[in-house]
Amino acid sequence: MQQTMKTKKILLQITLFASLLGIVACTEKFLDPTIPQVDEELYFNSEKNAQLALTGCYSVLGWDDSNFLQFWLGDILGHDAHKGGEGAGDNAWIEPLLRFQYNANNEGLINPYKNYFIGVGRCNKLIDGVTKMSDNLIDADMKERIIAEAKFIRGYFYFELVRTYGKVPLVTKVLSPSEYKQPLAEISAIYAQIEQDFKDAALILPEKSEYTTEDMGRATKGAANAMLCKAYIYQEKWSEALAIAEEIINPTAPAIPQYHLESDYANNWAYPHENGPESVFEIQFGNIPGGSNWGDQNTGNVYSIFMRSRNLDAGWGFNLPNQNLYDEYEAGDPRRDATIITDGEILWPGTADEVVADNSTNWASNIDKMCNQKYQLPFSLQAENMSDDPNNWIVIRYAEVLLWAAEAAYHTGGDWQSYLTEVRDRVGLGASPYLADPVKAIFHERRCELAMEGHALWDIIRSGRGVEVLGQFGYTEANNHYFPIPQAQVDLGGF
Amino acid sequence: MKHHATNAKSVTGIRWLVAILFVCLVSAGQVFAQELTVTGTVTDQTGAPIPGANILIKGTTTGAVSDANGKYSIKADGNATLTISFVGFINQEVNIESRSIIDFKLEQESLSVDELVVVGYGVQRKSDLTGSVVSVKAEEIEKSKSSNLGQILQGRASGVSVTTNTGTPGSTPSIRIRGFSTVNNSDPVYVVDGLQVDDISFLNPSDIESMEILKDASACAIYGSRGSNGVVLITTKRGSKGKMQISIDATQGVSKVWRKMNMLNASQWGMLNNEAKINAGLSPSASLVDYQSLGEGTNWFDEITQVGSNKNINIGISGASENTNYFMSIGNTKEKGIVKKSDYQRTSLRLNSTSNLKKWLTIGENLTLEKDITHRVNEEDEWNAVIIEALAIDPVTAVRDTDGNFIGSEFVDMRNPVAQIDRTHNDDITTIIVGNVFAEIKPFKSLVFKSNLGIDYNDNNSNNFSPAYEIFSEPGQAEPSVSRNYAQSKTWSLYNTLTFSKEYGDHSISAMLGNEAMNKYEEYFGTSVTNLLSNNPDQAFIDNGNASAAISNGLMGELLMLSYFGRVNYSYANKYLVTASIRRDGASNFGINNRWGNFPSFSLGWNLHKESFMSNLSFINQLKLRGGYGVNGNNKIGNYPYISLASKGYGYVFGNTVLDGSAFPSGKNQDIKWESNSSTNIGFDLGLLDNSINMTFDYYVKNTTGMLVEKPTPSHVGLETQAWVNAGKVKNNGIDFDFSYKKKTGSLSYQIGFNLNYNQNELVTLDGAKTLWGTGLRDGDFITYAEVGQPLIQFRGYKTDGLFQTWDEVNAHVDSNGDLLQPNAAPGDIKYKVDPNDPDKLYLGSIGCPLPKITYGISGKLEYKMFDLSFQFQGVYGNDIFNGTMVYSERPDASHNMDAQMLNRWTGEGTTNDAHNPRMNAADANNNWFSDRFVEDGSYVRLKDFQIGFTLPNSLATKIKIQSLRFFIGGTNLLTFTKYSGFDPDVSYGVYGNLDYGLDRGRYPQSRTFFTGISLTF
Repeated sequence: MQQTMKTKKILLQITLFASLLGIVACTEKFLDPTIPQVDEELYFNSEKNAQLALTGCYSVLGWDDSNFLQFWLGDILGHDAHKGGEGAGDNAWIEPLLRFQYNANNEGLINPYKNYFIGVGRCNKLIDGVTKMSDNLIDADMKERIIAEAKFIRGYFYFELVRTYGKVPLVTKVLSPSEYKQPLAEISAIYAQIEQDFKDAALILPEKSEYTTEDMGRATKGAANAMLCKAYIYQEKWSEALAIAEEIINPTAPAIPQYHLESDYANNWAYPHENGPESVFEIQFGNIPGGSNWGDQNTGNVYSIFMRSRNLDAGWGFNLPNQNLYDEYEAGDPRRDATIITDGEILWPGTADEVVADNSTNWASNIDKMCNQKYQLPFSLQAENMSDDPNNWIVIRYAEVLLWAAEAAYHTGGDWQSYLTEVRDRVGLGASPYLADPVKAIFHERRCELAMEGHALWDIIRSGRGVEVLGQFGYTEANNHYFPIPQAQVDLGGF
Repeated sequence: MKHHATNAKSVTGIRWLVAILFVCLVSAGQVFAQELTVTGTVTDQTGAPIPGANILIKGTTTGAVSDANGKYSIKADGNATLTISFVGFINQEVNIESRSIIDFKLEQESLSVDELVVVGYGVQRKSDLTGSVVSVKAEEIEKSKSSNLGQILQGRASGVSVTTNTGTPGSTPSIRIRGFSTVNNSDPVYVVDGLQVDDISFLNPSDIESMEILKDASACAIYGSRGSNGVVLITTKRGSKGKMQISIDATQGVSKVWRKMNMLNASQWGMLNNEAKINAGLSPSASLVDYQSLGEGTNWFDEITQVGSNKNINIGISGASENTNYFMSIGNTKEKGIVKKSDYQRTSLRLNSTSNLKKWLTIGENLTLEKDITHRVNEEDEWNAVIIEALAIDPVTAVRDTDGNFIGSEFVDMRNPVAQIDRTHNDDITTIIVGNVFAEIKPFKSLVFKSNLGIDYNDNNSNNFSPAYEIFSEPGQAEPSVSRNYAQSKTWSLYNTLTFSKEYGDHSISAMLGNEAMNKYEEYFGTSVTNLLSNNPDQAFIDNGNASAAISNGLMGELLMLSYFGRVNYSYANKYLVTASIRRDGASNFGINNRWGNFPSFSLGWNLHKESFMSNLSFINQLKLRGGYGVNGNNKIGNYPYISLASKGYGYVFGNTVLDGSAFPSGKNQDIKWESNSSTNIGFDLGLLDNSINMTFDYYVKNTTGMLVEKPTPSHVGLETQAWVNAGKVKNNGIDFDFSYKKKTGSLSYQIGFNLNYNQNELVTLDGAKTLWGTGLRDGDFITYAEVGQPLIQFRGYKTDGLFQTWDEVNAHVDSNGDLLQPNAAPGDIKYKVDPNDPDKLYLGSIGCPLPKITYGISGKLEYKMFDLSFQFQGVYGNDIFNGTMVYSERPDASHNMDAQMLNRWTGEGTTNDAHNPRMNAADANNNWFSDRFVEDGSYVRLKDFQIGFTLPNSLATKIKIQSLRFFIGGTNLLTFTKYSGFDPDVSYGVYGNLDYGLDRGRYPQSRTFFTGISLTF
């Protein structure tokens, strides 16, 4: 009897033991976790996902760190504007650049380089993923268009990379770890890829007029051609540039002109005229309630707060036009008033937003007491969050296409003056005072027409006038034609 | 109101639980016949009476306590057995055999040698240990009145370094064991009653029986994968045999700012601001011209600080019957911080019990329920941190205008911190349930099977309301907004062990086999809205806002682990000790081919004092040599580093509406695998002169290989965040030394202890990369970084070389082309040193290291009759601190308020050559660069804890029917000796990752606390 009890007890113990062990008698399967997001390997399986990833490519266009360069380098370093801000210690990274002391460790040049390549990387991933999608997953036309839009964006980023940094690695696919080491590509090879991307894009993309209002802001055929023209201009491929500019001005098929000049020059930056008739390509921003205020997921415009007067609506007061720019304008050129806010000027007169510009009180860095007018918004249109202003950043206006045509026509011996005249007619100016010196006439016109839009530095450098215009500040062709690739990248890339 | 009702309900629930447990215990008692009264005296070997000894009738809960003269009296059955026990003495058992007088002479326990020490998945006699383990016992924990367990460890044990991230109430310190072994998470593993947890802040220190810190790999390897940064084993209290004990412990105290910065007053600042403007060629602000009349102005730091307070009450009930022991406690801690509107409250309940259901079956549980409520002010984000603002805002501006409205500064770009605190409405509520149940089955005498199931549930609500407000000269906010966030973490783990132990003559063997499974699930979601209907914080709910434009976020993550492990201990005649262990771990956060890692260890011990040749050396009570080697791992990286996941939220505007976009921001590495850490440890334990002197010495080398690091890849690869890779080696080597001396003569006993760790650290390689960038301050470049060949964390900056005194000196500071190296400089500005390797540029590199060379603690205890005194010093030596507050408070452009030492500024040739005192210049673009001007020696020594107690004499205690009553007063952070000029030299991590260390951002300062308290047991 006692023996049975004991046997029972041991049996009970063994059962308990075994059942407890059984709980952990797991297989390898136990280690498979729940994955809460979609793996990139499985991602490209629907048109919707492809569209989402495409929007992700566009979103890099609006990132703060990369686009700051448009005015930091274009206007301020182009010496059309003073830095401004709180003082010399505020955004001190630009100070050595202003003296053309380029240093590969300059912190201002790190993020743009990285962000442009993030944009390229997103496009490469999208092109790779969408190309592999079978016909039952995506409409064939949409597939083509998505790839074309991505190629436009990739071309855009490579253009910014090559004109800023010169030779950079040329990456057009998703790299595996063994391919991470890439050489610096020749500038001509990078431009060849840029041209190819814009040509491919222009072949597929709809014209601006073919997009619905909801799609406004997407890459268009006209924008691709204009970017292609810009790439030709920077390479001084004048006849190709002229041909493509004329194709934009007087299209052959379909023969519907897509663009014309605004009758009022200032309307280009009037908020209701966003994506207006003169707009070829704009980086789109919106004042979206909620949303991220800063950083990569911000969809608002931060240039406005940067450029707003320090004495108006808590602005930060950077990028202040200088006297030299002011003096460039011919007497009676209305573009000067549309570009520059002078001290004491009445802004938005006759509206509830009317205010007298104060460009001097307690503002030591505003040396010439002027502000940039082009990206100013009246108080009633400003976003509640300072980083969420709604106005777009204009990359290419039709006026610039006309001026490219003029430049290219001059270099190929064509009728350059008529393009120039069209631009001057709009603002009621007669013949250019510099007709005897066509290059001067063209760049005078570019400076006045496109002032404070981020073009000055690039125009000076690409036209070989670096030493002439900026030599007094330290510019040398050998050291300052391109910016140095950030030192950390040189080290990592083994360049 | 609703809230209070719920609280009341839960208290009632607790009462019921307590009542039920009482009934169970009482019914376990038995009634005896044939009683007689036994009396006698309890003495020690010298014949001195021992008051307070426990006399218990074996097998019952009936007992008595000896009085002041050592006399006792107890009614018992003539056949019963008496057990007598007193702390520090060996227990005795005597059969009554119908005697009515029984005297006891107790033998003193030989000190500290053969206590049991908790090791991974078991206990061991201390004399059998072969690894490096230190213990911190309840009595030491009780001597510190800190509410945070981590803080209590500061300075208590060699090789255990505790640093304070912030002084804000309810914050968690950082614990490092034997240095920094990796650039990623270096936190040790915490194991509470067998359950691995991430953080020990939830524990009520009065519930802790002991903490064991496993320092070397041979001790940690049984935790394998997760043990590379050391293991902290925590055991909570259980009831001990004897009658039911109720202990009440209450303290109350005040806390104060222990150090203030000496800032300029209004007229001084006005003077320097004017000077700065004039030196920059500007005209002074009109309202500052007459600076002499400005007087003292506002002392902003005083305006945001207050005298804090803390209240702490714990009630513990413990006891045991023959087959069951239990421990219950309720604790409540309330801290009001030294910065206004910051406070913390923790309420905890603990239930621990163990029952021997059968001879072969023991079951038990440990359970903690806790609720924390924390209110914080902004101290982290430098754009809005109230401490920085209080230092930097000018003293001329008043807190409020004459109408009582807050005003902002018209002079400086800093917000009014008092106004900011006033409109801070955030609360953080955490509910925690941590517990485990276990069963032990002994099918045979030498075999134990144990199964333990644990859960760790953590539920956090954090809400933040920002009201609409307008304030003169600040941006203001037009619409009130609120964000409400919820986060949850659930972990369960189950382990089973089978332990066989047997002695065959002189051979003693113990073998353990086990397995473990763990699942950790985390999820968060949050929503925020703006345009709330009202500006009332009580009405800050999503439904009152513009819910259709709410911003929401939410995601989950899961980590799974599966392990098999085993350990063998063998000893021969208690002289020769061998321990070997192995653990095989699988973790779900590695790619499918690299999930598993093996972590072996081997260690030896030799108890020399048991050798016959040592028997002549009778003053040596213990001498043990130890040596071991082991490998540990680390997997503390994200949950999914081996895949790249789509992330939404990358929108773009088309036609003035935002379309959502997606991207793959995370880098992936399919080959990612365990970081491995191998360490070698040799040491000895020495006990001398009746074990009154104890010493432990260890030398260790820890090598981390295949370090998990987000190694930078070139940007052209297009990775948005870097993928984790196994790259790099880190080496730590150093010594741990512990010394203690204890002595008891008559009614005086005292004890002094000293511990020290010396550590050397080097980042040996990063497999190709040279540098990892850490973090900086809000303006400017990186400050902290890691560089191959250097200790793991460095500060980066320029090196100062005094001040330029003349234009000639400025113009002579040129590169090889003759170009000025400092084109913005003028006389009175800081001169920076030239790079010794490149005369064409200024030196920009390492300017200091935040890792201490030596970490140490000194503790003392003294008891004389009814009085006791204890203290604890703690210190570090050989580290630097980057004083980030100075970047704000010593700006020579006078755009902020300044430290009063700036009055010594340069005002002309020869006035000063100290780089801390450049000239005032409102257009300064030269002097506030990150340089060694901001790097200071971080060494300090601090009287961390001090306590004096008075215990009621036993005779008196017996009369009023209590077991013991002690009153005490004390303090924390009473004295600090340091050259460091910032708020506190105890600077730890910031909020920007694992390389954000040693950079003082002027976070919430630590306080000095004074308290009084009472401990009552009956």
